[in-house]
Amino acid sequence: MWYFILKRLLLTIPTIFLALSVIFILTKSVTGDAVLFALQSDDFSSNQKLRRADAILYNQTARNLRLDKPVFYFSIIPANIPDSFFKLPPLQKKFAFEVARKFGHPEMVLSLISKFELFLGQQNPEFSIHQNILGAYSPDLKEILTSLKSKQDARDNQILTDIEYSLDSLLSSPNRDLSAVPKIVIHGIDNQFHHWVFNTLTFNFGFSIVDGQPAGRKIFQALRWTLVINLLSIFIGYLTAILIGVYAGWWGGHFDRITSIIMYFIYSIPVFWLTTILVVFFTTNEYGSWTNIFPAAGIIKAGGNDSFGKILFQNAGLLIIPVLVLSTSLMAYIARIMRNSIVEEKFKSYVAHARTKGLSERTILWKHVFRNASFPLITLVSSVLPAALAGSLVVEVICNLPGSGRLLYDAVQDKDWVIVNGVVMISALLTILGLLVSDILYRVVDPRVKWQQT
Amino acid sequence: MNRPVRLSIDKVTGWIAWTILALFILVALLAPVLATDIPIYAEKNGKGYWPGFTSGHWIDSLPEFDRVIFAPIAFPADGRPDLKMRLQPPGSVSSAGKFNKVHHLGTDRLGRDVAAGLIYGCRKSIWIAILAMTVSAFIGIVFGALAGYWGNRLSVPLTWLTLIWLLSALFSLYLWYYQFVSAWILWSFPIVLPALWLTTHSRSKKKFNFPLDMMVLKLIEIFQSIPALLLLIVIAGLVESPNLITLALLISLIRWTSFARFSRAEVVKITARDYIIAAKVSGLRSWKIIGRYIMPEAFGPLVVVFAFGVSSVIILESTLSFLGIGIPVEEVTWGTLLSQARNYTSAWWLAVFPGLCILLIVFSLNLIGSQLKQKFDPQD
Repeated sequence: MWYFILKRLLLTIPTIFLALSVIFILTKSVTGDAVLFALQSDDFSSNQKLRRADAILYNQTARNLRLDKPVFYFSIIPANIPDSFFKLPPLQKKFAFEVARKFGHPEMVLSLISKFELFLGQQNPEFSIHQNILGAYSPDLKEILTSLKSKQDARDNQILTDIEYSLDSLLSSPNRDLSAVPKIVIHGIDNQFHHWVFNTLTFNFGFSIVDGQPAGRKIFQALRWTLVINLLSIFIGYLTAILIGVYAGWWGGHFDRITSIIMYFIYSIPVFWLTTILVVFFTTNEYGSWTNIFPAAGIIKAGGNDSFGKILFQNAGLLIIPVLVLSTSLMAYIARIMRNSIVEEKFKSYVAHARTKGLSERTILWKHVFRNASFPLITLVSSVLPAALAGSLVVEVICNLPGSGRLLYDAVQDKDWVIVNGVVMISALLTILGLLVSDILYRVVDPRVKWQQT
Repeated sequence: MNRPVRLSIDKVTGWIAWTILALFILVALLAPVLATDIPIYAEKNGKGYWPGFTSGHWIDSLPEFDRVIFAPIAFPADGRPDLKMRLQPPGSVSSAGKFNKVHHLGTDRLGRDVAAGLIYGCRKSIWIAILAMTVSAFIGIVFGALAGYWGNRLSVPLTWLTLIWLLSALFSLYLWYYQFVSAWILWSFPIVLPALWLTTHSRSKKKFNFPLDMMVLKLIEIFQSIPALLLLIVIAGLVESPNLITLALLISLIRWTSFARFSRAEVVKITARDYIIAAKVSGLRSWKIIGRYIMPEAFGPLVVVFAFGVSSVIILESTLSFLGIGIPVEEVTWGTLLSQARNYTSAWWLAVFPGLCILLIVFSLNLIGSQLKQKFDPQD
């Protein structure tokens, strides 16, 4: 048994590693420039053009987010692009690669960037407009050239005319001088992918971008709430579902039909609607005093040094709606499966045999039929946990509960990458652990399944 | 005694479910006619006009008419905000010139009509659900069918040619990325494609069993190990310019696993049958066996997956728009209407009607799904 558990635990490591790679690829390919997003959280909108000061901010933010590093262990680039492209600061690097991809002539692009830098380094208020145009490093060279030419008043600056000349020659060069022969540039382990995978695997999430707190502690504090709600509602949900499902399946008849329809109906209610209805109608006096049943969702009251148990106890009222909603939706899901499983079992011959032996109905039902019918419930453990985590996100957001779902939601809104990574990683870990637990339980309940099999 | 009663109840619920679904689809199709501020019929000095079927600026010239018949919901969906009519309860009257228009289901925080919003929300929800499910069905069925058919024994000839083909394909990708257009065409068509043909038709004795099934199963496991809603929130929240199509595509990127799982299981079951073995022995091409003899058999269970999938996509989409993630702010959907109820608790109509719509369509889809399941899979 221990051998089996150890083996399964070791097998989860490649899964987690691959899951991390998939998340990395998805976020890199689907989403936009992460640095721009991080800047956006500082009141910076994306359609606004970067100004010169923003360019410096951009490079700083990229360095803070460690996005200035190369993406992967190696890159494949055209042979005539020099390696010094990778040594440029992030914004300049992005500019260089985009321009080189479009127009070729990598050496000219490099010298262009150094001229830009030279011009931007000049302390001359006369040229602040030009500096703003060039400092943004927009890859749209045509636009830069036309806007430079439209401001004729600065003809006498040597570097500016030089820049105009090289922009002109780059734009008008007939062939895109880029070698079709590729070369491989090795970056070593100091790259984004490596850091992302190994930092998350060692739970070294870093510090939150928004408030600078250690992300691990923030996630742990939030996760306690989520686990309390989810475990409570899974427990209550399973208990009620087993009672309803077993008796609906065993008795059949009208009770079965009515509960089946009701369960279907409850199963179809979106979690967020049920929560909204409860919060809107049953936490205020707005619709008559009798509707004010539940405590209003609000801020968690907590002293500075209170233990989690004490905080939980003081705010227990706030947990009523989340647990009620989550356990109801879980119950509807599980009860249907329980009922079908019981119906499948109750006509089998061992039940008839137990009856002829003279066992009481209660013993037959709970000791024999239920035990055999409970296998689907165990495999469900693995799918219930992710469903509950997802469901609790919505409930936490509506009820203002400081759980991990709420944390993730806020982090996505604030573009706080560090927290987002951490929460996704932890949820994936919990899901995989749920799978493991259901596998072990399956073998505990059904002695026919051998421990050696995986 | 027991059976007929049960059957009739099943029949009635099935009938109700199909009716509800048909109604929703009808509303979605007819949305531009059902909710519009252009009158259907207008009368001026005894002369009748049918503005609904012509074009023109009818809003401005409306007061000139003597008699006007509006569409059932006399407001457009993404209509201009009417701040005088903010958060009006159902039945309140908005005056347009000398004619009164009734907000049957009230207005939202910008004074837009809720009923019109619901009708267009229905259109958007169903559209997103069908798009997302079609794309994910395509991805999932391709992966699942290939994995189920070949299992872990997709034999790849182990020759130098295979290696050369792989490298040349990688090189073709590189050419594509760095926009060497002519080189890419010259490379891909005369070299990579013939090399692929040569590789697959090589008569080499040395074969390497490519573990296709294992890879697909691992991929499914990975996607399922991250709760779908969390992954979706993370990715959709970081898309640069969110719109409904990208939302649908993102959902399908995550929802394909259920199709892959079911189609793989079905294909494995069918491939073991005698007639497929006979077809293989007779030398029929693999894609012909899969397309003509296996997939039609696997159709039933996949329809069930589709039905349940549509309902879960509707819930996912409305959850995301409720949270305000992955869709534009100004878009009116069931989720965004419902989310306003959080801030305006006295506006009960914002909390009740959108949720009721989601509940009804999801309920009917779930019932239909389980009805189809009984039909196609009698053991369950």
